[in-house]
Amino acid sequence: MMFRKLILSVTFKPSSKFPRISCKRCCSLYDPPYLNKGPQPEKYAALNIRMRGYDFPMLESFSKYVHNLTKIFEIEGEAYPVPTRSAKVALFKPNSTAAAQEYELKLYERTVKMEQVSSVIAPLLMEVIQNTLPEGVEVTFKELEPEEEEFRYIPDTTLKDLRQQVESVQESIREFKSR
Amino acid sequence: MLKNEAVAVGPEVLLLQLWHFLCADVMLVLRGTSTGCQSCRRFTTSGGPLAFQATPRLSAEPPKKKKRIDSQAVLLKEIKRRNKLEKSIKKLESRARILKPVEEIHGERSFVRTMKERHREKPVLTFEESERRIKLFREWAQYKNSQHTEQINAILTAIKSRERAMDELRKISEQLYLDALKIDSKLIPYTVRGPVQTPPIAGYEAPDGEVTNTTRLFEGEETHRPFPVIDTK
Repeated sequence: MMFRKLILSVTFKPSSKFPRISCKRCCSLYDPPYLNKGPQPEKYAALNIRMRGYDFPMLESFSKYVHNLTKIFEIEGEAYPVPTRSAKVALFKPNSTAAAQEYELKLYERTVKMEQVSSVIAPLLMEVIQNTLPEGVEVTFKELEPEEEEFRYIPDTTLKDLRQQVESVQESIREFKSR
Repeated sequence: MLKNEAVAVGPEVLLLQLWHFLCADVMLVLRGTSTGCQSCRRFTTSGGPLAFQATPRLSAEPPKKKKRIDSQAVLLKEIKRRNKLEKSIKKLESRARILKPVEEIHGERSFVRTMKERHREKPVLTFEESERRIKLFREWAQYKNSQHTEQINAILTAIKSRERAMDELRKISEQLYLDALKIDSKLIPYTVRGPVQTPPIAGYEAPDGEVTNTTRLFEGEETHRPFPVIDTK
């Protein structure tokens, strides 16, 4: 809200949307803003901005920029990093599988998670991000995938074992009951 | 005979067997020597004077009494065990999950070990140099701030004009206005890639190669997530 107060007061004339507050209280008509709202735009339940790239400084500064953008648009966004993935790329010599050159690539990833984004605002946000995309960064707008969320955490082996044990016990109980 | 039976036998039984064989030979010898003598008595010393024949089964342990399996008790036991397991699962699940370390924040494992060796002292700056730097930073900050304000202005103008457009649309047709408020299902997922320094080479044939995923696999993970190769086509 702070941006709006700073700039709107200077650059914009009050539109018909703002309540008309007159100095003469005896003959003024004041309707509080929450009364005549009318139909509101639908909201996207979950929107993720996933930024990936092999060039880390570029990606890092862009992710900071995107996080600030969400504040300007007055959307609550949670920015978090995703563990780095690395790969060894070998280019073969012609007509053989001997490696001529070897490279080590690291894929860095950052995500900004947003919820309840208005359908009117979301396309604007996407446009701004598209226009300010730097070199070497790939941005994907999508909903959260459980597989990607699981990748962020260290898997709990004891929990997995216990769950398997419960399954086997359930099976034996079923066997007994069927007899 | 006893040779063909695969039974675990004790030493006493083995001695009895040996005695049996020896006595069989003695019997043959005795038969050979007797010459139609009616007064000779046929006797056998196989198995000793008591003629006690012990088989492996007799020498074995007496059979145990068969216990009756109470299925109800077993069922209750299993149910109890399941409840206990579920309780411990709940406890583990309530614990906060541990996040994987991110290399660029926590430091690459191989570098962290040699960090002390890589330490360098900060250079001592002259007064002029530090002054120059401060002035430069201030100029840069002012420039970036004005850039930021311009951008905020542009964004808010866009939002405002969109809101005004919606108001005008409402005046024209209520149905179109309500449709405009709805979610666009085709909006996401959407991928964009940043510009590249050089355009793609026409008719370029990439050399053959191999991509090996070398991401660190933690204990519970079996396979890697596929390594995406960002294409700039």
